[in-house]
Amino acid sequence: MNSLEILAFFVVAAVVLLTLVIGRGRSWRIAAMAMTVGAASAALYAPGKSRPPGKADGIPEQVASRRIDLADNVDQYVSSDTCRGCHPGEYASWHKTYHRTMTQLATPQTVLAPFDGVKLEAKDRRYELEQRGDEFWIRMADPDWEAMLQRQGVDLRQVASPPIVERRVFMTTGSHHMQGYWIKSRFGNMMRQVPWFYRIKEKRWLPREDLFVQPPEDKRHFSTWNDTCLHCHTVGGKPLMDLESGTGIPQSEVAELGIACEACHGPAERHIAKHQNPLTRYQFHSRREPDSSIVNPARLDPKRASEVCGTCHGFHAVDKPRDYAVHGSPFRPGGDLQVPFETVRYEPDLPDKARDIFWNDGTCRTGGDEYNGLSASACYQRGGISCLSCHSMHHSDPNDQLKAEMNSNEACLQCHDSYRDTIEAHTHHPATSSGSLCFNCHMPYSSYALLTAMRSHTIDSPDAGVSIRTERPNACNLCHLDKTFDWTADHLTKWYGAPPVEMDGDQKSIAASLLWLYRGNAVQRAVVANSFGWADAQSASGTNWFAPHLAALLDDPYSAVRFIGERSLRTLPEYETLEYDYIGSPYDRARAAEVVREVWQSGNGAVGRDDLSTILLKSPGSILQSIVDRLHSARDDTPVKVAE
Amino acid sequence: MTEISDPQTSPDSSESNDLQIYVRRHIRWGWWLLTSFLSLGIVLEGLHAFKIGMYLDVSNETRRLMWTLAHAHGTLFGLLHIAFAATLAATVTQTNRSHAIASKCLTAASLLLPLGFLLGGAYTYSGDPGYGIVFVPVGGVLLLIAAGLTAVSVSRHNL
Repeated sequence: MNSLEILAFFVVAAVVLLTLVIGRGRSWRIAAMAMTVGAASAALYAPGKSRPPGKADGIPEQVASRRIDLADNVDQYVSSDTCRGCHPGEYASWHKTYHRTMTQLATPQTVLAPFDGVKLEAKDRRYELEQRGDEFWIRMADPDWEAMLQRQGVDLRQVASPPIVERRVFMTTGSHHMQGYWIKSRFGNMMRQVPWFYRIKEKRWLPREDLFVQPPEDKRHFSTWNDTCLHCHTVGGKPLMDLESGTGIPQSEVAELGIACEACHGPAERHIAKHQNPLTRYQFHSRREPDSSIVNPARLDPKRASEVCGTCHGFHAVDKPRDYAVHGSPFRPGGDLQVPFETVRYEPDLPDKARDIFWNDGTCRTGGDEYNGLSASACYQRGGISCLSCHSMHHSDPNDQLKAEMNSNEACLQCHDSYRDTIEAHTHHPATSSGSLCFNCHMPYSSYALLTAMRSHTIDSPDAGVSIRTERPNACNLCHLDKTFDWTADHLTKWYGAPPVEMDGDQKSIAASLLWLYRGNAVQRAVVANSFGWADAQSASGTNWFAPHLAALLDDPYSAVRFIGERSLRTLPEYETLEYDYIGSPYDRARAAEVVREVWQSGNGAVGRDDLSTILLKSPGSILQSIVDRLHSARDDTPVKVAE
Repeated sequence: MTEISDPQTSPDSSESNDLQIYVRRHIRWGWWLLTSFLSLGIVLEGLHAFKIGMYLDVSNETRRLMWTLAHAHGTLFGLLHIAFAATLAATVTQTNRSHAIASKCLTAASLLLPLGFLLGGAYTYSGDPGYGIVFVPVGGVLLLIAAGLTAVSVSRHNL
């Protein structure tokens, strides 16, 4: 209760009392005052009867009957609908986020893809989609049967006539970049992924295998929701897999679909019960103390606060995998993440899946595992930064959940205020240029996920030596695409006293971006391909030499690399309307690459540049083919699969 | 139906004067309440018209509800005062203690209820109104007393 409110309260009380005193007689006054006191007491001391926690979500009966159960009172969760009554503002700001819509029941309102009459075909399998009223159906090869065959080692491409089934689409995953769909398996309430996703920006259905960094020869992946997505894309998810009988058949339960209030604040049943009583609430309002009945990540210490986000935005080893497969994650907001989990750190002998989330210098390179990167940074370990220093679920842009001004240098100046007036002296770039944006150097676009490069959350400084000795691209050469490692090392030495770096002839004479592009591994190629489409890098590097090099990516063995290469190429006006499909036939892809080279040559590409050999050109419009071929033949074709 | 007595010709002029005082008081209260809370209604419309966040944002849902209730209750209390005056004028020739209590309770309630809502909306705690809301149940009880006493009085006059 603040002072103005107290004043206003007593003014109103005084006005009423004065009005009463004007009258004559005592009995009515006594009666009125008695009623006043009685009513006030009744209002304030009404017993705080707890209401039972509500059913977790308004899941339609027809879905519940098919055993996608949202159980009552799961782990004392109450659902966001209950939170809404007292926290309408917070509910509304959360409601705008893509976290809320991460998992939804499939309805005409939530399904973003066109369904009716759509026919899809990939890997010799046909998928016929249909909308029946408010329901979405798909006719396809029986995924249970195919998964079983694949487990037995059968090559599915050799099975020409699989049994065909019709399955209803029950749930969706995602609503921001792409949307996936889930159909029911015949086992328990296991949900199987339709092996096609809908890319929202491109408005296009695409096969699963062409949307992730995975070796082209990889087998089809039969994802199930209950043992993977459920943990992070719902609140209070319990896979409840039947491990005792050995079948692993799930009868999963969740408190709420999507990432809702209690995912970050913890189960709220106790909080609701405590605050049912108005007297308790108003006592709490007057004290302005933290509420011990609920977790507010903003009031946790930076490490605990980051762990709330990190439980899902991180890659961890599970301490008790069997318990995890039955009862789900034992982590609750405010707890110590490292008790039920161990955050994975890079070691060369990690299993492939874990190792592939890191560059081989140990830096996390996977979008979605930001906690692994952030928690390895000095800013986190010694500086007290947390996820909530820049991000918020409630006061932010839903795109990246960045708080106001956190897409500027204010993000770093919160702690490093001494650079506020000396930024140009520190960066050696004009103060208003992108080179003076702190995170362009300290958090470059060197992580990968969702068919794009994302900012690394390992906050550190550019180091040419690291890029030479390991796979990891550096900030300088991801922006100055036309410069060599030598140029970068030289500037870092001159400006910041970085030690000299040993390098070979190619590293001294060829643009680092082209070394990554031609001889890098799939993730390096994807990340650098993204930089070629980044406006800031285009401005710093000039673009009239990009096309022949990006053309090489149009026929890359990895679909994800081709997708990003095409997207970057289309940022150049001459190629906006190029006829090319990144999942087209190898012949068509190679032909499109030829067309790009022809268009570039006919336009006398790279006229006016004096660094032709650095960017692998013999002359304007002519590429140094022998060097390109040599680099290309040295391409790192180590199979890579990024577990996003 | 009981006839309305002319105060000038009433046998007990002091009682008649009392009645007149009550009638005039409540008519005065009624019209001033209407003036005040219809003005508040116009202010609220203005907040809508100019999309004022402190009133319209979802996070200020409680304030919007409280102030809307203040406007509605204040206006209705204006009408209620006029109705009370009309009831007295139409049903009694002289006032008694019950009328006096009803009058005072109605007057107090017409301040407590709308001002409680107004104050409750001025300071809010997320989904809870400010402490001013405590006036509302008190006003509600006083209003109930006033309504009950008036109903009994009207019944006794065998309308």
